[in-house]
Amino acid sequence: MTRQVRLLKERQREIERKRRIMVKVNNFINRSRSLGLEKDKWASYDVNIQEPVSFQEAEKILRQTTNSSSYYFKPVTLHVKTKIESDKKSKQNKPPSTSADSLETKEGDILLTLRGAFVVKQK
Amino acid sequence: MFKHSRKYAIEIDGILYYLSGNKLEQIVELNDIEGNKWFISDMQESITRTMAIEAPVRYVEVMVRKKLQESGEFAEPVSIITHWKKKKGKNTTDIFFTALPTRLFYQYSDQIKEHEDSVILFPLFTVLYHVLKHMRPRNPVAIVFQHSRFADLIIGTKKKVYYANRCVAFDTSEEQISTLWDTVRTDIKTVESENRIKTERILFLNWIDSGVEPEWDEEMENKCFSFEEEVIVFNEKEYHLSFLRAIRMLSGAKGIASRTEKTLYYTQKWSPYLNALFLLTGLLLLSGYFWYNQKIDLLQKDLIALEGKKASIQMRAKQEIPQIEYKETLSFVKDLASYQRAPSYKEVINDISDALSADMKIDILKMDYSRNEMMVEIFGNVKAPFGMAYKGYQIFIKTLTQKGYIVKESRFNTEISNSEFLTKLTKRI
Repeated sequence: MTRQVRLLKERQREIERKRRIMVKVNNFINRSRSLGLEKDKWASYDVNIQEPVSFQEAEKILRQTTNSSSYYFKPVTLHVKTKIESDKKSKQNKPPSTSADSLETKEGDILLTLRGAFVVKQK
Repeated sequence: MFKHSRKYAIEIDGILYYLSGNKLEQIVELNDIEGNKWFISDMQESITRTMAIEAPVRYVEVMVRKKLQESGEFAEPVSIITHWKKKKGKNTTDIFFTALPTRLFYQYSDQIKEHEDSVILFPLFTVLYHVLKHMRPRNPVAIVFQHSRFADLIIGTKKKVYYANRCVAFDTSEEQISTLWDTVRTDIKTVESENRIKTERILFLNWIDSGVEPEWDEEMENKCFSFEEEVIVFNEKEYHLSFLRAIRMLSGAKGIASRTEKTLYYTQKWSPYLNALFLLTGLLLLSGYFWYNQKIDLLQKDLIALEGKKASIQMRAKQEIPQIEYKETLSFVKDLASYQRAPSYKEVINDISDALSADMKIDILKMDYSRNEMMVEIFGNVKAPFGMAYKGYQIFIKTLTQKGYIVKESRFNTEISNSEFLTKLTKRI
C-alpha cells in the first residue's frame, strides 16, 4: 500500500507538472488568438520570379523582399547567375523559341530566380 | 531427575526386583510393575564372552553361533546379543557378546511383547560395558560385579573389550566366596599375560547379597576401588549399592527392544513434558494471535487513511485541464517568428558584398531557406595573382564567419593568374 501511495504521489507530481505546462500553452495560444495570429486570418501571396534582370531591377526586387510593419516576407530560394551573356550566345545558335516570355528574349545583367511569399494579415 | 523417576525391573540370580526411587522390593513377575520400565536381567543360562572370529564383521554372529554349538556349550539353537564388535586385520573380528538359548531369548521377547506397557530389556553385561564406556579408560580396567555366588567380570579400555566372563562358586560360604575372588584374580592375571597388558584399576560393583571384598596382595589391593554407591532401602533395611548407580547410568539406546517399542516408551515418558510444551506453545500462539490482531487493527486504520489519500490523489489526477487545439496556431506563430528572424535576401547579399575583395567576382549565388536554417552557395572567380587572390579569399571567409555564417564546404582552385572558388555556408535562423 505504501508503495502504491508513493507511486501515486509521483504520478500526482507528474500531473501537476503537466498541468503547469498546459496552463502556459493555453495562455500562449489564447494570447496568440487574441492578437490574430491564426493561419486563417492571414493571406499568403507567392512570389516566383525566374528571369534575366538588370542590377537596378534586381536591387528594387530585393529591397521589397523584406519584412515590414504590415507583412512578413517568407524567403524560400534565391538563385543569381551573373554570366548569362555567354549562355545567351550559345543559345542563339539554337532555333528560336516560340514563347514570348522565354529567358532568351529578355536582356539583363543577371539571371534571377526568386521564390518566396508575402504573408499579410487580413483586415 | 528423570533417572530417579524411571522404573526398573532387575532380574538377578533368578530373583526379580523392582526399583523405584531409592526403594527396592522383590516381586513375583514383571506385570507386578505398572507402567513403562527398563528390565535388567542376568539372563540365566546365558554366557558372556569375548572372541576373535575369522569372519567379516557382517557375519561374525553367525560364526559365533556355529562355534558355540560346535564346542558343545549349547545343545540347542543359540541367540547372540552383541555388545561390541570391531574389525581386526583383514578377515578377523573381535566380538563381545552374550549368548543364550534361542528358546529363552524368545521367552524374554514374548514377555516384553505381551506386556501392556513398554519394556526395554538390558542384559546384565550391558550395564558393566556401559560403566566401562562411561569411565573411558585409556589403559585396561577390570569391572567386577559380585552377587550371590557369582562374579561377573569384564576387562577392557575405552576402545576394546579384552575379556568377559562369569566366575562361579559352589555356594555363598565365606570360603567359597574367597575362592571366587581367587578365580577373579587368576582370570585378570591370565588376561594380562595373554594380552600383554597391565590392568590399571579394578572396579567393584556390589549387590544386596555381595560378600566381603577380597583380601588380595598389596599390588592388587592398590588397584581396587568401589564404584560410587547409593543408599537403597530393601526390606526396611538400608544398603549401599553401586550396581544400582551403574544401572541409572544406562542409555535407552543400548537396550533390546524394537524401534516401535523404544519410540512408544520415550513418547509416553516425555508426554507430560510435551503436553506442557504444547500448552506453552498454545498460550504463546494465543497471545500472539491477540497481539497480531491488535497490529492488524492498527494496520487497517492506516490502510483506510492511505486508501483515502489514494482516492484523493486519483480524484485530482482525473481533474485535468481541458486541452485546447494548439498545434496549428503554434506552428503558424513559429513560422512567423522564423520569417521575422530570417535574414532577408538583401541582407545576405550585403554581407557577401562586404566580404568580397576587389578582384573577386561572383558567377552564381544560391540561397535556400528552411524554418531553422539558411544555406548559401557561392561560386565565383578571382582575376588576380594567386597570392593576392588567396589572401582575398581568406578574408572573405573570415568576414562571413564573423557575421555568424558556418563554412560547410570551401574549395579554391587556381590557374596562378586566375582562380575559382566554391563556398557553401549555413546560418541558423
